[in-house]
This record gives sequence, C-alpha cells and structure tokens, in this order.
Amino acid sequence: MRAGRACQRFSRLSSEAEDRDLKPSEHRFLEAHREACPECRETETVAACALNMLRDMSFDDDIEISPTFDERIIRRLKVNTVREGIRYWSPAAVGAGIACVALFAALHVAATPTQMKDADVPGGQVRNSTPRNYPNLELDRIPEFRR
Amino acid sequence: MALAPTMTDVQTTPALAAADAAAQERQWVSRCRSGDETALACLIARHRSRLVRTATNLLRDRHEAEDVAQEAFLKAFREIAKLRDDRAFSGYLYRICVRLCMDRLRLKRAELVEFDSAQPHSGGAIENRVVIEKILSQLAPELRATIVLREMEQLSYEEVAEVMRVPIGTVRSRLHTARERFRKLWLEAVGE
Repeated sequence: MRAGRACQRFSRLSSEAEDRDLKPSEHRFLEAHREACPECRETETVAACALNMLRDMSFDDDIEISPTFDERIIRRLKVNTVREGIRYWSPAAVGAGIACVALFAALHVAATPTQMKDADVPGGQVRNSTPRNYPNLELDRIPEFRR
Repeated sequence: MALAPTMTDVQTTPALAAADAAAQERQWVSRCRSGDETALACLIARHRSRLVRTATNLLRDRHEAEDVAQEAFLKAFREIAKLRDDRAFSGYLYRICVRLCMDRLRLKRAELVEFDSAQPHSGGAIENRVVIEKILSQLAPELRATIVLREMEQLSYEEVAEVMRVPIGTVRSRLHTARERFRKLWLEAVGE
C-alpha cells in the first residue's frame, strides 16, 4: 500500500529528528501520526533499531594497524622522490649529451685544415696546405669540334 | 599566597592542549613541505588511526582500509604544495581518504543479494551484523558514505558536507534517502 502524504511527512520528520531539534508543531504532528498510524509506528521502531545496530558496528580508534604501516608509506615516498628526480633531470641530461656531441663534431671539423687558393694568399703561394693529388683529366685528348 | 585554580583555568586546559597540538601539527606540515622525514612520521602517527578507522567503516574490510589509508597519506604528501593553509591539513587528508574510499566502492560491484524471506530471521547479533553489511554493500557509494560518516563517524551535517564537497542540503537529502533505503532493505531482510 502506497504511503500517503502524511506517512511520507512522518517518515521525513522522523529521520530529521535524528539530526536537528524539531519545532513544537513538528513534534505534535509526529505524536499524532504515531498514535493514528500503527504501520508508521512500527516502521519507526524497526528503523531506529536498525540504525542503532549500524552505529554499534562502528570501529573505534584502537583498531589494529599493521606494524609496517608507517614504514611502507615512507619507503614509497622515497621511491617516488627518486623517480621524480630522474624524470625531472632526464631532459637536461639529454640536452647536455646532444651539446657534447655537437661540440665534439665542431672541434673535429675545426681541427681539419682547409684547402686555400693561390690567389687568396699574398705572394701567390699556398702555405700550410696539404698537397693533394689532382686527377689527370687528359683534356688534350678531347677532340676539338669545329662547326 | 597561591591562587586556587579557577573554573576558567580548568576549562581552558583541554583547549590549550588542543591549541598546542594544532600548533605542533602546523610545524610538522611546514617541515614536511621541505621533505623532513621526521615530521612526516609524526603526521602519520597522529592521523593513521582515524584514517584506518574511517576507511574500515566505509569499506568494511580492514586490509583494504589500510591500503586506502596509505594511498591517502601518499597522495596528501605528494600534493602538499596544493595545500594553502597548514592548519587545514587534517581536513585535507580526511577528504582524500573518503574520496579514495568512494572510488573503491564505485569499482566494486554491489552483490545483489536476495534476502531469503522464507528463512526466518532469528535476530541474532552476528546475523544482524551480516545483514547490515549486506545492506551497506547495496547502497550507492554516495549514500553509503553519507550514512556512514553521519551514523558511524558521528560527523555533523556541516562536516559531512565539507568532507564530501557538497552543499548541506544535498547531505540532508542523501541522508534521508540512505536511511529510507536502509530501512526498506532491513525490513525486507527481517521478513516483515
């Protein structure tokens, strides 16, 4: 049977009575409905009993905790700190590595002497140049074509 | 001539102790920000019982509750930079714990247990506990958390609202719904 509006109001006020002070008019309503509706009266009693059992099932502060509880937290925090440090510094390490490779390459190129032209050197002589063997193109063997 | 202790002196002693404890905790939190392990250990020692108790009340499993409490500490310390006021550490930690418990409850599938009304409910204490555990597992996580925080943790409406980050009206509404549902399931269980 669907609860009427009065029963619904009774149920709501009965619940709110657990958490706040009801107004006198609300108290009077509850009393009157409790007398008039045996179903609501019994339901209220059963509900109160169930809620009390729920409250009794609450664990208290002297609940047993594992002896390694604190140690596990601190250990995990330390591991996390090391991992975060690696993650934080790894881009800098990669950048430093690239910079070292670039510097090494630049020094290698700088150490290799370049070929200079005679015209660029005062006196027309190339100095400090590494002698090179030019290929013999045998240009004189190319036939001359006349139009 | 020594003055007899006044009522004011007697009354303020617990208040002074609480103020000293709060000041001490603020110092620990401040030192934690710079990675002081001793301060960390002190904060854990102070709050672990309450966190494990709350998580156990919500999850009804002590081992899982310890896991969640540890996760709550780790999250709180890793994100301690987000905490603007050192005085709010206790509430901040508690909120993280409740939120992690609710995440766990959402992941668990509620076992839909049909109460065997053909079997008479004898009303024994152990049987009542089993029935209540089953009823709690059938409540939605938000309703379960609300009714546990109010009935078991004995938090006020304002405290529940702050922990769950919802308005007080929502707490009132959820609590009423949770109690109604709890009552209905209990009546089904006892076969009335």
